[in-house]
Amino acid sequence: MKSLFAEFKKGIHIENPTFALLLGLCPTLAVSNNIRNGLGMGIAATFVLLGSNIIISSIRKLIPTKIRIPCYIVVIATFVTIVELLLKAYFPVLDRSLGIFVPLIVVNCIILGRAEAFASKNTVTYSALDALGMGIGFMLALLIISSIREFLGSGTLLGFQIIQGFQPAIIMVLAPGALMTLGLLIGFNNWLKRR
Amino acid sequence: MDYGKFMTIAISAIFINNFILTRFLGLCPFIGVSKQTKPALGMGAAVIFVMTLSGFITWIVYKYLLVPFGLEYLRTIAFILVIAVFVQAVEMAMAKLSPALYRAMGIYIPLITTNCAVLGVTVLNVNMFFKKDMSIGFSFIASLLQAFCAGIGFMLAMLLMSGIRERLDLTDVPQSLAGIPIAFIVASLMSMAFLGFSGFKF
Amino acid sequence: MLRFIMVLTAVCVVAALVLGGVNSITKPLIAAQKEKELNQALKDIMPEADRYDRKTFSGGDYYQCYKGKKAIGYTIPAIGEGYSGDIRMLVGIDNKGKITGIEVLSQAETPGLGARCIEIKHRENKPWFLEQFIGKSADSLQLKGIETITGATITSEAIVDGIRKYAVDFLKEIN
Repeated sequence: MKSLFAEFKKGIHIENPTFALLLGLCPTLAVSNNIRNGLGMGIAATFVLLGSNIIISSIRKLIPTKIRIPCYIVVIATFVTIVELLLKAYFPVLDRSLGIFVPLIVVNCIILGRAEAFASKNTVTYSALDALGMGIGFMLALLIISSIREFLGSGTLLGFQIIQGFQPAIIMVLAPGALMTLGLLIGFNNWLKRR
Repeated sequence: MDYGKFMTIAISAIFINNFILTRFLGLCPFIGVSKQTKPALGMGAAVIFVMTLSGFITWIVYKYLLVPFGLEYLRTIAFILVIAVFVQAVEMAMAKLSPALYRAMGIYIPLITTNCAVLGVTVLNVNMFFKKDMSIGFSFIASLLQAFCAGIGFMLAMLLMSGIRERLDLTDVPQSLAGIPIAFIVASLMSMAFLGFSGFKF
Repeated sequence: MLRFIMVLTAVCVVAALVLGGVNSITKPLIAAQKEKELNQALKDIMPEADRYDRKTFSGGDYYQCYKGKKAIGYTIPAIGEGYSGDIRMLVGIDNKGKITGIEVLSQAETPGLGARCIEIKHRENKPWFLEQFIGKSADSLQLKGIETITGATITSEAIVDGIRKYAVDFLKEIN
């Protein structure tokens, strides 16, 4: 039982996809300008990750090794399109603010990476747990980055003003702020590990 | 034809909305392959080539296959498959026809399939240049131009970054920041410089 | 080789079937969402009207607005060339050519600067910048007398110029 939990836990801290494995950085930076977008992307990516890991691990024995990558891509793209359609149908505002990063979940290296490195070798249960852990790790990373950026860049958290009269630094919600925040956070993570 | 518009598309794709520094597309190769100038150049050239031709193929697929049958919702899956097949074909053709070029660029080609900049530019083309009020000719040329210039912008950022990182190796960076973190901070400063281009138009 | 082709085809066929199914469920929902948003936008910029008729002019689709049987104005599209790309708007004008409301449909202005053109202040429910235009003549709109967005003169100008240009063209064509 312990190993089941370990499978789930590793994605959250030790193998955190963003801070430790440095995967899926493009959406991490692009949609983390406020918490709502960050959470939306985190949930969408976790859904795709979970779906594709389950399907891929359950059909892993039927697929010849040589053509596995194209098969994985089709499975992943299918889930991404489902997410795209659901977002458009139920959350059009979120869909618009995430923009092209919804279809781009297809090329998020976390998902293909987990399919190749984990789901293709493990059972459905383990793969599902792995996907959940990685997804939550990704979501946490997004949450941390987007909270920092939203607070410093717009002076709000989840849209609510926190400190009256605080003049936000707009640069934090723009591109340079994203890169700077991520660089410093990875550095901070390294420093924690070193101690 | 409206040359000013094309000029604006080109400038915008290269500088204002630089794919790496402003749009955050293609960060993985940007951080991964920018340690030295030579590989950065090879990767940049490979990306320009694949991007331009993918822009061309996906435009045709979208216009003459997906739109007539009302299958626009299959866009993502169709584009990624087209790009993956195309990249594979380029790799095989290159290995056969020009082994010298293959040795120089070959290792970067498979990496490009999962480069989100390539899929990104094709999706952006569809979003931007398939509006009701645009003629077929304009939409086609604009898509190709945007794909090509996005590649140029990608290469420009790669080259600048690799030049900086080569020098960075010789400097004394705090231990925790060495390597990737400092690369991001450098990228952040570059992106700040690129902000200066915004608002520039014809 | 044959096995490869069969597996790949099977995967693709299943994927296509699944997506076809999902699409047939979400398609009416997406259309309904778009319809709802358009109606909401029309309602926001021309609150008095109860019926909107779609018609076309050289600049795109416009809606003639009625209150009961009386035609009380139009909503027209307008595009301004902003700082980073087009700002697409829907503008309501009454029979006298005065603006009744503006809705920004899409924009890609800089967050924190130009994007504040749609900023809604605390405890208000309409964007303060756009509210200033209400009651002004659409075809002679000027930036004078309007509080611009700090640090985003180009965005402010783009909105004013876009509305004026489309309003002039539209009114010329209609009359």
